Amino acid sequence: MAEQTSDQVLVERVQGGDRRAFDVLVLKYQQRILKLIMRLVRNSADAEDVAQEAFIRAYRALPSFRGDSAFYTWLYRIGINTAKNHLVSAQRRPFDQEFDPQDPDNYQINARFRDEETPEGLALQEELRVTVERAIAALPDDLRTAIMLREIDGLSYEQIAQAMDCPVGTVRSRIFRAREAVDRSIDQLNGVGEQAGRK
Amino acid sequence: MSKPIDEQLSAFVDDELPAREVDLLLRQIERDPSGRGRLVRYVLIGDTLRDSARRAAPDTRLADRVRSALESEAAPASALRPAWHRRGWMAGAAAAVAGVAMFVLLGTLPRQSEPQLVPADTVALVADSAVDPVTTTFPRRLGPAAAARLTGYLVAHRAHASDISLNTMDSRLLAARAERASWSLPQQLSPER
Amino acid sequence: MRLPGAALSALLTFTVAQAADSPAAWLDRMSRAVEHLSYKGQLVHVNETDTSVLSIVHRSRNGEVAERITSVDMGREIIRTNDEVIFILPDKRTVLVEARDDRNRNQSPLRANLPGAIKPDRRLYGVAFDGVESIAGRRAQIVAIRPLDPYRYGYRISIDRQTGMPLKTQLLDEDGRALEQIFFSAIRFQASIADKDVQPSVKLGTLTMLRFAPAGGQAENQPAESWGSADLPPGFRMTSSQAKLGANLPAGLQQVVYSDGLATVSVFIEPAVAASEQAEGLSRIGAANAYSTTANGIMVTAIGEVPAQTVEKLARSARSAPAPSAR
Repeated sequence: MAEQTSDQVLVERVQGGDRRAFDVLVLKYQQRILKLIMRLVRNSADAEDVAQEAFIRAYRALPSFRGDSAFYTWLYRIGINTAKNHLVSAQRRPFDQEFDPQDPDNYQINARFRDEETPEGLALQEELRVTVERAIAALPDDLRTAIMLREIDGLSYEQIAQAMDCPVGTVRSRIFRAREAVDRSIDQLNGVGEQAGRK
Repeated sequence: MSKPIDEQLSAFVDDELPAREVDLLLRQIERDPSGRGRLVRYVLIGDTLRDSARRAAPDTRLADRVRSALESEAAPASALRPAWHRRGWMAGAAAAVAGVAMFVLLGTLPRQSEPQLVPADTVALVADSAVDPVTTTFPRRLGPAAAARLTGYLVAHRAHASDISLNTMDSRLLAARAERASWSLPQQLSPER
Repeated sequence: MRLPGAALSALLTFTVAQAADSPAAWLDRMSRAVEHLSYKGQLVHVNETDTSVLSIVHRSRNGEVAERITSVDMGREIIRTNDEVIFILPDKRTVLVEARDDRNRNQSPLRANLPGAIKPDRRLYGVAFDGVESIAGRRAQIVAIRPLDPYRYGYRISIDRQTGMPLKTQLLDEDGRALEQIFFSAIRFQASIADKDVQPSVKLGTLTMLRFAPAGGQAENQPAESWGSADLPPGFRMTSSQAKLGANLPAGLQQVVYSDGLATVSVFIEPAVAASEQAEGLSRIGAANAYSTTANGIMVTAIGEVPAQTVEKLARSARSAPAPSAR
């Protein structure tokens, strides 16, 4: 594919000194990186610090990023390295009596974190999940199909266009409208949205 | 916020925003920052759907922190170096070998094709050098072929050494190494499905 | 060695009250704990160049061990049972299965059924307590294994006071610096572990399965020449000598292994190495040192987690003698 991806363009912008472009990349990937780091680091307060550090390192290292891999892959590895450094240096800290071992239940790749999983936090997550699912269910068929093919099956717009027998532009529009509808539901949830910080 | 920009955000989240529209996206976000929150929520919707959203930050707080941190910097500080690079040339040298090892293990290193289990990795040599480019070189007299051979020896040594070495370390180390291996998949073995 | 039931439960209730025991006793208990305890945890492995994080589930039940080790960042997995070792590499879309038999049991990473006693030779290593520390939120007694001469490295093992489990192990160089270490960042002991927790967490269906069979007769060929050492470092003796055979390997490659009971060194003999590929002298890979020397086109390389002078001594002292005619 001859055309650059939007990530590639943004990376070039950052390399050219445009910080807004980096901000947009951070917005796009912050959750993924945060979740990744949480799998490795003990508690969510640390995780956010580590994630911030990871993004800053990425920003500093971007001038030497040559695009041999996708930006996200490269960012992912920075996230891992940063988290591991944190683990190693945390291990060297003296005995901390208040520190609870992470609950190693369910030790699969997506390990759960026991600490700081307050009832309120869990309830909010659950509420979010239910809200999204309801909003999706309430969508017209074509919008729902489009967004599910995209988010669950990971199909490209082109592939979805073929699957739904419509132009790519229509796919893009349907997915957008699906998101818009779900977003309206989320917006009504307490504590979510740009204006409301969560802690 | 006008709809076209929201739709661009949506396409951007899907890696489907054409390059020529990126500039417009940036300008619009600058003009109307509410797009930042929207971008985050669009990502969140997908995560929630995939039931992988656990500790999602459904706000822009993290991005805000990163942005402020970068803005408040007077000058770019020296890059944060991973702990293991404190050792200087030694670590860098090992990482250089690692680069060779990775390449070699993908095809050219003489290796056992017979079915003795060879953890193809060597002591987690595969440094994550994408982050900190290595500039030091291994002992200069050692060329890539020699370094690759040494790597192969270490692999075979590890496989054997597990017999009697400290078992608390070796089984874990072996697992760690195997897990890091850029495994050279033997074409000689017949696949069993 | 399997413990009878009564002794096993006695082991498992080992407590702080028995801290008066000797360091050697702690090591003994530790060896058994590793095999007979069931636990879930997260391991961090650090060496000079890298850090990896692993999730581990280890189950010991009626003398049968099952273990699942997952690389948190790479998504790869190793499943180990009494019968086989399975490497799952989703990124390579491949699963490698190795069946274990009695012969390659000795060479497999799974050591649960082998006597795992750590008994350092008292002429070579001093064993002593070295304080206490906290690892993964648990109190640990540190046992230091110190080399008594410069031919080997030392260890520091932090052993859980309640269970005898090694929570952290460090390999130390001559200056007492940790060359390599592995520690639990979280661990929980539980008596019963579900089957699913020691089975692949990845769907195997779409991955290519490759099966390793035991090597059979090929690897047991006697080398044409037997190699040994004319000047062993103190405490080291030969433990195996093997021809390395395979289609992609140089003809005549051999591996001779020496050990002092804790440290091991492999000496590789490779004939007919091209001049441009010959290495000479000391090299270093992570915690391992390697020393190569060449004569008459035959390259000898000693490699192991030991100080430089040990590999140098073994490489330089390597000698061949024609084997008695076999077959």
